Amino acid sequence: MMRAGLQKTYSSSRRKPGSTVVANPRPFNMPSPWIPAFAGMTRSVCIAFKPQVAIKHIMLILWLVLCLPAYAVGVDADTLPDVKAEARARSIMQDVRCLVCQNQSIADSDADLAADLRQGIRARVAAGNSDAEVKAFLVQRYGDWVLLEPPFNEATLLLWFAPFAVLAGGLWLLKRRAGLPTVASAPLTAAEQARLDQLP
Amino acid sequence: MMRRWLYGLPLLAAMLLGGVFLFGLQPTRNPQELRSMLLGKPMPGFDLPALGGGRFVAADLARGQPVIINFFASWCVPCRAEHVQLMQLSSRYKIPVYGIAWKDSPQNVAQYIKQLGNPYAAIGIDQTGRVGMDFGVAGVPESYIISAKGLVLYRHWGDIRQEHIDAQFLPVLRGEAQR
Repeated sequence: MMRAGLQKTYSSSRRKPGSTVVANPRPFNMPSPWIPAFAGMTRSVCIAFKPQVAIKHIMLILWLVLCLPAYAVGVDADTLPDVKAEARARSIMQDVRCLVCQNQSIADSDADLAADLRQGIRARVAAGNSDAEVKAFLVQRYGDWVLLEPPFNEATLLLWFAPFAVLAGGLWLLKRRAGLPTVASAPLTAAEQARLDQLP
Repeated sequence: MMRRWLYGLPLLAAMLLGGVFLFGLQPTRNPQELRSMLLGKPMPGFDLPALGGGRFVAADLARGQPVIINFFASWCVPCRAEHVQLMQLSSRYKIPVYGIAWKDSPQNVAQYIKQLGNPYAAIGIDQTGRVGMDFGVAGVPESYIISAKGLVLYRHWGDIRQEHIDAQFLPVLRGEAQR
């Protein structure tokens, strides 16, 4: 018996000398989990490893990996001395697209041009420009595309309204369907009723 | 049937979608092209140290004819690739070409020019890239055709190849000359 034999090796490898054999808590047909981090280790090590603990470890590693992008930050030597102004400049940087790396904000980018734009924004903020004025300065040069959030104008009307249009269309269809006369189903024939009664 | 027209709807939808795809597949369409915000607008002013001493200011550009302003850098490989075309534009087509060295040092630019030849009527050194920012330069090479009146007629993104001269530069320059 293949399965029984397999189960025996599982439990025998866990058994301490002198202890009684405990039944393997795993259902017999569940394979031992293959954990990439432990690939290549001997089978006994893998089996001794508790899957619950392994999953916890894997989750921890995954969560830590999730944090990696947080380190992607463009670092500047010169920041504004005024902490408040620097914070405002940084919040603007979050909304500005890096034209070299394209799907990153200039705050996240280490590209040369992004650093220039950051300094440009700092200069504008230091000069007392409002957030809107700073963004207008950039849009005037690089176009709307430089903003990560598309502005609302005639070119982006469709972009902003298409979801609502689709939703309205769907609701209209639903409403129409609800208004349609429903056809009452024909009553069962005697033969059908008899069959139905026979069913357990 | 009241709703017979509904049967035509899938066909209509398919045709509409086909039209969208056909539009997207046009060989001349480049979805990555970003139109310069300066098109049709006056060129931004600048005042830069010139290569070889003195200043290079916007007012120094040749008057009465369209000119080309080319942003380049000695560290930029596509700039080397397009250099032959710049030489051609200035010597064969007699278009005044001006260079702005973007984020580059005067020493390196001098070396670069010595190595490859000089197509430029004047070269400004934009070491910080501030003038580039005013032009909306996102990288080098980028070239601008400036009209006789100082308006931006065309922005070329990337290196200029022979086919660009034929298909874009000459038509724009000729159209301007006829005016």
